[in-house]
Amino acid sequence: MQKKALILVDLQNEFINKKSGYYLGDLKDLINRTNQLIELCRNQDYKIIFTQHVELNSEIEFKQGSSGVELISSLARHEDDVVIIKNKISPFYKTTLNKELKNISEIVIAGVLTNLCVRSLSQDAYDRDYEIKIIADCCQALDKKTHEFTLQDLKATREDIEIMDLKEFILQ
Amino acid sequence: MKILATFTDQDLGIQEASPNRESFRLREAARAVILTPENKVIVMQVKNHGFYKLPGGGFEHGESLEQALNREILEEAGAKIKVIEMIGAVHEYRDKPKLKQISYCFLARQVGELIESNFTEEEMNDGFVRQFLPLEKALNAVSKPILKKYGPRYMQLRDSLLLTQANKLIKNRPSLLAR
Repeated sequence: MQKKALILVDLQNEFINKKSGYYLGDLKDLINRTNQLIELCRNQDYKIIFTQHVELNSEIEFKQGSSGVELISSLARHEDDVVIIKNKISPFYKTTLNKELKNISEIVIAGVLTNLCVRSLSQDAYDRDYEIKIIADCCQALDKKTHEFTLQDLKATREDIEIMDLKEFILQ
Repeated sequence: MKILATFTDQDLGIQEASPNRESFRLREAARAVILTPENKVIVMQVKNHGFYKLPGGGFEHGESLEQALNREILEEAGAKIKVIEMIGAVHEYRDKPKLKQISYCFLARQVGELIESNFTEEEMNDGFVRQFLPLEKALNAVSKPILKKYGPRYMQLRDSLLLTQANKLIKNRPSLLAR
């Protein structure tokens, strides 16, 4: 039985659409690292879970049915990976994530945005007593300062959360 | 008047912009960046929808540009104004309502005393509140949040451009500010 899960937060087209308010720039490097992370976890029998944000009352970004909500196609996804569609920042709210995490004790987290959905997942999972590792260089916010502050603040307020770069995670 | 920008649904990140844009219904509007005697900018906070916009609005039947500008600014901002510079025109092609909106925009100074805003019922329902902000803060307030609604996103594109242009005009000619 799988004891560990990798959760990839909201890696969706909206973030690579130049005209979107959520445009993050070229995510090629981040996706490359993320794919390495996915393969590594897959080989170690992690459960692979993608979250997908759909904003119910949005007329523009993350609009239901738009191409912006689709997961980025260059991700190393498998058909049997789990996809959790969520309508709020927290992936636990009105979703089946709790059920998917039954028997799981450790969660590895990567994705975007660091200060929004990554943070929400991290702190909500923390309160549900999971062991948490955040892969810092596989996460991004709209600006670097916000990214760094968010991770620093998560660490300062929840010392059991481990924050590391992909390299450190590989070496563990 | 110089066209500063033409915005379409593509500028909102919505991929498909209608090809038949010239058949859209036309709405003309007058808007202003108004400097108070303290060199603050009058912005309308739309409380119930979480955003800010510049004062101004559409022409009523038979009105001239000058009449529309003075009436809209008096109603929304409660200010009498003197135009000090033209900023330019902004064209919007909004696919959803099939609307072409042309906004003629000015940099103006408030003259005389302010009066209470005279909001329409719709503006009251939207929670309009008049605010006075330094230009940089007004620009931040107008451009910062990522709004979910279609119409407000167009206003945000337009008004952040207008404030940026107003800022440039003032930087180049500091004498435009009241001393």
